[in-house]
Amino acid sequence: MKILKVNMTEGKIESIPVPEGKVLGGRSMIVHLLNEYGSATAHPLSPESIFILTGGILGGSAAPQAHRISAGGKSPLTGGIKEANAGGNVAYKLGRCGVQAIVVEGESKEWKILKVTADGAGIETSGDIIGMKNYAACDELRKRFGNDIGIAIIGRAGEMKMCNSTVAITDPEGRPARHCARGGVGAIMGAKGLKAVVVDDTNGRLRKPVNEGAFKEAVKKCAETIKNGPFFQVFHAFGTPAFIDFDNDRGSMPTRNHRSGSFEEKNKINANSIQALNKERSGNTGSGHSCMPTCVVRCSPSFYDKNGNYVTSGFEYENIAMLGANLGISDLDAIARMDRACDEFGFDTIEMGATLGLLNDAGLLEFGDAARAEALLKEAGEGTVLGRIIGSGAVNAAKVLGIDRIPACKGQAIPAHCARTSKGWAMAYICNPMGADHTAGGVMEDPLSPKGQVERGRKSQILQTAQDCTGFCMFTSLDGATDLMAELINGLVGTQMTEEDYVQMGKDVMKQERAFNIRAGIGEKADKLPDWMRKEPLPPLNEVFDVPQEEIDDFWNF
Amino acid sequence: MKVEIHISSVLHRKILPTGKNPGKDTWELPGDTRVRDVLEMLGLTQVPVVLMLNGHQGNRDSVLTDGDILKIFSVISGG
Repeated sequence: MKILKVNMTEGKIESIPVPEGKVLGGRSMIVHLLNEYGSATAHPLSPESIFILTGGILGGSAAPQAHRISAGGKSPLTGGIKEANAGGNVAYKLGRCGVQAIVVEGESKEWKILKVTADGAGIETSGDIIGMKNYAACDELRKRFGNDIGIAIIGRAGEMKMCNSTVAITDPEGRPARHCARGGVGAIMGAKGLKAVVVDDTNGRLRKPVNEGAFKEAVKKCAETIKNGPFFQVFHAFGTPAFIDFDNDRGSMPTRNHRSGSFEEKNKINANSIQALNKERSGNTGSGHSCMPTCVVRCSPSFYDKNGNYVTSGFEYENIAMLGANLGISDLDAIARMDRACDEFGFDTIEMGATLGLLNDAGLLEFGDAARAEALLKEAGEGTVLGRIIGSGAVNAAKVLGIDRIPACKGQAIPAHCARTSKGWAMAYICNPMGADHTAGGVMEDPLSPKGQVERGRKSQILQTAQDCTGFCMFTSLDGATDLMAELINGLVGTQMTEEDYVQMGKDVMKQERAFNIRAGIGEKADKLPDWMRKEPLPPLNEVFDVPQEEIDDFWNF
Repeated sequence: MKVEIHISSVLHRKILPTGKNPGKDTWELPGDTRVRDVLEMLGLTQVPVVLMLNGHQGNRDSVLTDGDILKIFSVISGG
């Protein structure tokens, strides 16, 4: 496996080996490359900053569901380190081409495309796909490079270098519906002059394990463990929209800009409604689709319009809650169109939903006005002045509009599990070096109690960080299967990693990420939830956030 | 009426109070029993769970009928 070092200023590509004696992928690869080639102090969009695309340690191997792709660099949204991962087919294909990671430096004055095959890589002109929506741009790229490619592409948001901008990743059907979404990774890529990375693995092959027998055995165990996982049936049947009833019932679904944790119209947007509408319109529930090759869980939900035509996939809980309940909108068709618009322009749905929610405080959007919300999202994609403010993310928009009630941590909007009623999970918003991120370490025990949450959050984040190095999807529920993780890695790359080493990897990566942030000027005091969440009770449970700050300040003592 | 109740193994191991069996079991229940009553019998009223009722998503207010299959899953993380 190799690392491609791409210099956009000079138009040169160098192939360098993965450092001897190190096991790197996903999150660990990003912090390693940032320390090696990047800068903690440079502006995120300057030529001195770098953009990284990397698979996990197990990406492109026979390990099921281990092909998440990570995009990263220094975030223009948070000013700190950023790793944002997604499913899709790019990491699988990169691994099959023998490429562990791509690090992009410098800056091209013209838009370029990077093409990667098993035989080499090259920089090409982008052609006329600039300014196009993502679905059409991917169609064009397939006409040019063939049908069987994987694509990582920035939309208009990334082209305009907005702080809310994604790197869209094609799913196995070639749709750019999976996104490395958070923290403005699209802008980091766009600042390099890189419009898309196209991966053709036609001449590639599945990664060959160093210890074939041991790896095969571990893979078998892994598939069984996923299928017997606590949540396999629910995700396969409903996908993440199962969380709508669940989070709503426990008062933790952001509604009308975090003014309630339950939405009185949730029955119009929950999993049963999505499935009933889909069935009526297309004959199937829209569930059970794989977002990446080799997936066992297959949880990605699709949505169809009144004529039975596909609108969007990856129609996840977060998207529906943030663009629906958080805006007081219960029209599933409108929510699905907004989800599609985010995919087309390359916007993070969480940041977008949070930002649009804030506009209510500025008198720019009435809750429940779906047509207005859609129009504002379109403006963001078109880059009008108001659109650019919206595309700059919740914290920046609030700054411009004079709003102090902002649901964000370290510059990044809080996702759709309310901190005040998910007090352990909130540690992943507060302490995580990436800013508020629900995928950094879920905690569901005693969600209303302030007791023991720092410890739970720490444990969960360490395991999740380690998992985010492997390329595994979190819905494998393998985060606690540390022995199996070590077995898989050892089988594939021939290391002698113990369970303890694996957990230590998670700890080390978190600390390296935090060290990067401190060098970037994000100090210890940044680990806090907005003050208003400690004062303003969240109906209907009327909970405030009450985990003592002194305990939170102890988070990093491990 | 008879209702088939499935409880995920993790839920049993980590959360379920002692004395209750995990896995699949058929329960004899009075008419008008709601899902929340079953959760109460299991000591799970305060525990975050996702419910599947006859292949659809169930909620705590759903009224059970004869022959129903109720599956109860613990939620450990998600998004």
